[in-house]
Amino acid sequence: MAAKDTATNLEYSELDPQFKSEIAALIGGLDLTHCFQCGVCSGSCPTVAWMEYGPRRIMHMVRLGMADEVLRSHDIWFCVSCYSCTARCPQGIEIADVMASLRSLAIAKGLAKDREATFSRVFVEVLERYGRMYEPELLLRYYTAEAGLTGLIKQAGLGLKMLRKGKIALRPERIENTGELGEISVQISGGPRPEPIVREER
Amino acid sequence: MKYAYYPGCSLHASAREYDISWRAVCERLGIELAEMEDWSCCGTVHATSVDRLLALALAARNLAIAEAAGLEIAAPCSGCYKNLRTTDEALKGNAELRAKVNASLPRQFKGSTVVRHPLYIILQDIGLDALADVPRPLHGLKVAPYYGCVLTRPAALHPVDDAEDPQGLDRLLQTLGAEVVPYPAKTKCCGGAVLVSHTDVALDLTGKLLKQAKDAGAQCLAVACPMCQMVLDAYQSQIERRLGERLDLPVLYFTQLMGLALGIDERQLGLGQLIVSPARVLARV
Repeated sequence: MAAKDTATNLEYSELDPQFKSEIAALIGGLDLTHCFQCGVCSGSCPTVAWMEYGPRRIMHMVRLGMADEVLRSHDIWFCVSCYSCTARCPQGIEIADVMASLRSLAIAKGLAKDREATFSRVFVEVLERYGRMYEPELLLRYYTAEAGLTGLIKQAGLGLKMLRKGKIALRPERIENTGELGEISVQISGGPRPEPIVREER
Repeated sequence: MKYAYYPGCSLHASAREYDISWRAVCERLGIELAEMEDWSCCGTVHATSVDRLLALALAARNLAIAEAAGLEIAAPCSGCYKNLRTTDEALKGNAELRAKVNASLPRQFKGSTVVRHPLYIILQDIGLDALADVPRPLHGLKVAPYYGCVLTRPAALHPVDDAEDPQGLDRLLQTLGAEVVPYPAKTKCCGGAVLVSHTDVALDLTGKLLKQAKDAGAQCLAVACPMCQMVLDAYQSQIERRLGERLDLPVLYFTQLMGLALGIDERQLGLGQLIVSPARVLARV
């Protein structure tokens, strides 16, 4: 699908002028208006080919207040947090952290619609349950949540290979007080998180 | 020389050979590792995607454990290393954020430790001079060093290597007698962050870089991150199917190659746990 014309295709009422400040606040008050749209971020991004807009346009859409389009976009979930954009941004903008903030805001507002959003959410669930990661449960929960155990079955051969090599723990490791991380989570962020919306396959 | 050892979840599961070989190398070089008591998962990129403050708190919980032990941290997983390091920097530089995070933690973050990656502990604290005369140099082995992304990015407050063209692993391998194969993708991402959710992305990225390394004449890859290693090694047969060509490139942890060069018994290096067998390649050394 061709990208929308960022400046003209929306009614003013559909734009959120506070959006850029909201994102900036999430990563420590960074000034996103320093972006001059040079495109080094998109040129450096290893996954831009899978994106609809790419990081340069996302940065501009944030400035224009296109909150809904950005937060519903798959692009933010195709960011692999490699920090190539951040390392090269001539204006010193922490673009990868902006992308992470967009992902967390998308989840908080219930607008996240990507398989990676589901994965991130179940990852945190398993983490909070044991204090450490336990891959078998993570994968089972993820594929169950995505209503597609075929994906899991597809990787069964690999799982078996890894099991034989002793690369899969048969039992979860736990920290001493397994409730501790959940308590930290409640302390720092309050209540439970909304479910990500999972619809589209990409 | 003693460090608070933060293995991270991978080194207790999918990357046991990294744990084993790193411990063996430390023992040989006189580095003492005290595994952090009751360490918890760093949260990796996924916790940051869900809730940045929670991610900071998860990392800070671990930093506080090392602080109580009065030791610098050795974190061999690049993902853990990055999370712990950037959280340490963020909380040291922002009193308001530190207060917020500390309010959620049973043990307070004070900002008194330093987060280090084993590769740079070797380079800086042991030094290449001490490795100039290893008992079993890796002569004849053509290695492609692979740094991946977050070992050198985002740039640290006090960077230990260049983000665009790092040299640390290159220099270590050369010192151990290996021939380092240059190829453009050495700091490109493996896509590990989306390996499960968007597998095709990770396989495309790693396919490109493995092919580059192969075309450049590499016989194997040296890595410093369990996530990179898993995509490159365990998924290599799937990558080969996508590319329609055989790669057969063993992906070794730099600690395994170091161990070999130092003359450590192979059984202590977990070579048999690699999916793509390094036996054929290593037989030539």
